[in-house]
Amino acid sequence: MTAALLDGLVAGLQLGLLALGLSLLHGLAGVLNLAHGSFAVVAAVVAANLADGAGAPIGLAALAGIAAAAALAVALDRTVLRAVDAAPPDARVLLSLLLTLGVAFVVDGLLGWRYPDVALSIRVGGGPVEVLGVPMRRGALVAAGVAAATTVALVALLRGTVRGLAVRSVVQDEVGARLVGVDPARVRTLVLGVGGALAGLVAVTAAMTGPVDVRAGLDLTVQALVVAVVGGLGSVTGALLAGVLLGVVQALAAHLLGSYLTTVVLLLAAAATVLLRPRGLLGGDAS
Amino acid sequence: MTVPLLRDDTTATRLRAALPVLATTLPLALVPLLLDGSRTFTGVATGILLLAGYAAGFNVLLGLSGQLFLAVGALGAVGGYATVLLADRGGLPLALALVVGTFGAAALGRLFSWAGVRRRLDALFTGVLTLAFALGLRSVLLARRELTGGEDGLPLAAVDGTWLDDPSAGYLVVLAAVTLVLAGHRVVVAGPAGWALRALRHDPEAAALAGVDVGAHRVAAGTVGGAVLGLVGGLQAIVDGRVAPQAYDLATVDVAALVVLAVGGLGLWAAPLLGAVALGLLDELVLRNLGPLRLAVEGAVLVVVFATARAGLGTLVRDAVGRALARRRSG
Repeated sequence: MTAALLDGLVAGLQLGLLALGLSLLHGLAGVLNLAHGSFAVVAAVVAANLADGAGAPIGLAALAGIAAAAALAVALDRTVLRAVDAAPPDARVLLSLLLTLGVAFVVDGLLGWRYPDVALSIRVGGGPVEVLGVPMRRGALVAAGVAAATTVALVALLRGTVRGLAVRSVVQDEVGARLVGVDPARVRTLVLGVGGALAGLVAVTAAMTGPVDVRAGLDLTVQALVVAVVGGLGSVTGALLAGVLLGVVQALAAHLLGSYLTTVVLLLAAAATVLLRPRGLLGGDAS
Repeated sequence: MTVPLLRDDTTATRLRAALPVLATTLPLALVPLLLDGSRTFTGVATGILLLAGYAAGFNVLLGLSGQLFLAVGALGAVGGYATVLLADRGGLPLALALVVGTFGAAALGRLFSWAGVRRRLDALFTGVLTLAFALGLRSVLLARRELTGGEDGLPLAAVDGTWLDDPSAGYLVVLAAVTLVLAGHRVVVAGPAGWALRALRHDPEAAALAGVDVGAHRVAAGTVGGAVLGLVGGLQAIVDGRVAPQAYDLATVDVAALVVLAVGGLGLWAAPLLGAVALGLLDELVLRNLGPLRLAVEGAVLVVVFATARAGLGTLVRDAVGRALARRRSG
């Protein structure tokens, strides 16, 4: 049970990071990027090709993968999401869903065609480390450490820098933010880029605990969506908290019920949140 | 624009609205003859009609009432699995099993719409709720192997040795169902409900202020849309002679139905048929040989169409033709 809890914590930190970009984007611009998981997979594929194919150091390959995911997200903002900007406000949510779903299919289809057998797997050397009496793989601990450090850095950026303040101001009140000179379009580009980078980072750290292959895009998007909805769309703290909670629930359910029903448990959590408390755990909170 | 209250809104008028559907689908009954009884090509033609059926159900939900259900295939699976399980294991006559499956899917569609109305959920949350159902159902179908056959699915023994074993018969049954659905679409849209749905699709708040019961119409659309999807899913199981999870997959059914409506035009009665024929022919001639690239091509179609024409290509063409005719009349 302790092992399941610790595994859940590791997975939860990653889930929170994965959901964070998605959640922030919705809070900022009212749009949802259903290609989020596909961008994560792009990071994994780029990193795998550089590391295995070109023999690049794994750290450099991982950074390149993360940069690729961020670049794709920015490209999405500069192209496809312009059509969403032009739509009437009440049509934007649906249009963003349809357009980003299309982008997800394009990315997944191209990756499946070009790299059908590519999977990223990062082996972290050294034996297991004992945590609370439970032997944990080093890869899992490194993944958890990277996720935790990134979370702390991100929260510090959002709270302690001018850019972070600009992001929070647009989430809270776009009109007010414009009045004080903040450009919501540039903030959205920044958030998409950061969200893409975070998705890429999650794919790279997930590869330390198990292979990430080209078919993982939809699964990652769904996981991010579930966590973002449960945490409350637009809430950074909510996404991180929901990530840890659902990570633990997922690990415990896998330990007790098996993998198929684990999925059902997660999805029931999403459905229950939508029905009982659509704003999520901390929805509406931009901090 | 004609004001609906002043129109000749009689039952006869509304039934006449179904005539274009009959004029379009009746000639399609000759297709098995033209295909000379070829099982392969009749199967392809039936597949196109099934796709049109799924798109027609999705059209009621998304095109007419603006509800994004990411559970098109899943609701079809409810109809399909209910048909097979009730007919083979429950001992029900096949037609009754199909009806029960259809009602089951209708009830679920009604539930999702009702939940969306009660909780005032927008397209995003309705999409998340229905996506959660679709993925959860898939997991259950795979997990409960003893009941559902898992990934292998179940055969439908009830059709063995019956007239439904003939591919042409299956084609005609599906054609009849699609005709019924499209005719119903035309008849409803020609009446007051059609105006109400158009209004709530365009501006729900204004529609409510004008006296339209937005919630009731959305729930009704959810019920009908769910029923259509369940019916098509059941028919798919009958013509295939089996049911399996991958036949109702999100990536297979929902994507295709969305592409069909993107091409055909959201809300237009002819969109499912036109879009399904276009996609079906494209699939047979080009896409089938592309492997995973097929998904990329379909995704590209979605992006290009919805980025340039929010309501689909068919609607763009219809509006352009309407403007040209209006200019000709005034000029």
